Amino acid sequence: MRGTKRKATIVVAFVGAMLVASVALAAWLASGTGSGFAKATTAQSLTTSANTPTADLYPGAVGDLEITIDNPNPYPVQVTQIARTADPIVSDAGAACDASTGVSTNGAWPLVVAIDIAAGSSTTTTLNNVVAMDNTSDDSCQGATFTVPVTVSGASNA
Amino acid sequence: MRRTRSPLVAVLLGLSLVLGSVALAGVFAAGPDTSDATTQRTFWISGKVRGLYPGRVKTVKVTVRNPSARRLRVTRLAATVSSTTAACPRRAVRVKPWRGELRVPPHSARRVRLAVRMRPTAPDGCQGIRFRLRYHGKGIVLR
Repeated sequence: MRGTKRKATIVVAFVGAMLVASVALAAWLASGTGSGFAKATTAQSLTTSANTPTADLYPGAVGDLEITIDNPNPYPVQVTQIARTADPIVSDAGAACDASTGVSTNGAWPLVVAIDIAAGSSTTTTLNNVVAMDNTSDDSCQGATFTVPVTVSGASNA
Repeated sequence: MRRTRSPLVAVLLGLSLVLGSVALAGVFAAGPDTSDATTQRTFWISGKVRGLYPGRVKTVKVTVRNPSARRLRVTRLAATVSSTTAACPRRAVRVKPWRGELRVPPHSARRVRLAVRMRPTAPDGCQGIRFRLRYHGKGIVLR
């Protein structure tokens, strides 16, 4: 009985070793290499356009600024800051008003905002109480619409 | 009884080990049927992707070519990213390693999709940058 068991063990061990040998002979290890590239897009500039908000400015008053921001990129962005440029605030009322609009920014500029714009779309935002008019405003500015040059900045919001 | 059978056991096991060693040696040292062993054991990987931007995950279709006359089973693919400018670190882009089983017939090619992601924090310096991807993979050439 003991001898039979031992024989069986020997046979199993032998067959097992042969099996390992067969598997090893059946396959070769392989390795692969190669190259490629991943290219990033170049961001397109956000563009802004002015809107005509409700007339709320008069000497001594503060008013709103309405702005439309267009995102031409194929990805969503979040605008985080709106700042004034060095260009002067102008009006649609002519040179006399432009020479003395009396309009300036109000409060803390640049403005810290969080405006989400979907890919390839635009959004219009009203910024409350961010401009003001003082008594230096020329009479010809009555009923005028003022353009406040700004620059917007943000980042991908993908 | 035990003493009389021990030599037999030793001989059989020894024979098995020798055969096993020869077989394993064949895996690592024996050449293929043709004279170019390197060609037979190597497969080629390529793939490119465009349109990455911060936060974007894209799929790169990686082509695995098997130049061998034998069947290939690829089990792992990965890529190392390198940047071409100091303004954009290579860690801005990551290729997710792939594990699976891709069977490629002899002298054929198959595709597998790998995910490539640009980190949301990728700096402006990464705009328009072309990252080099160096692919590497492992597999088995089947007899």
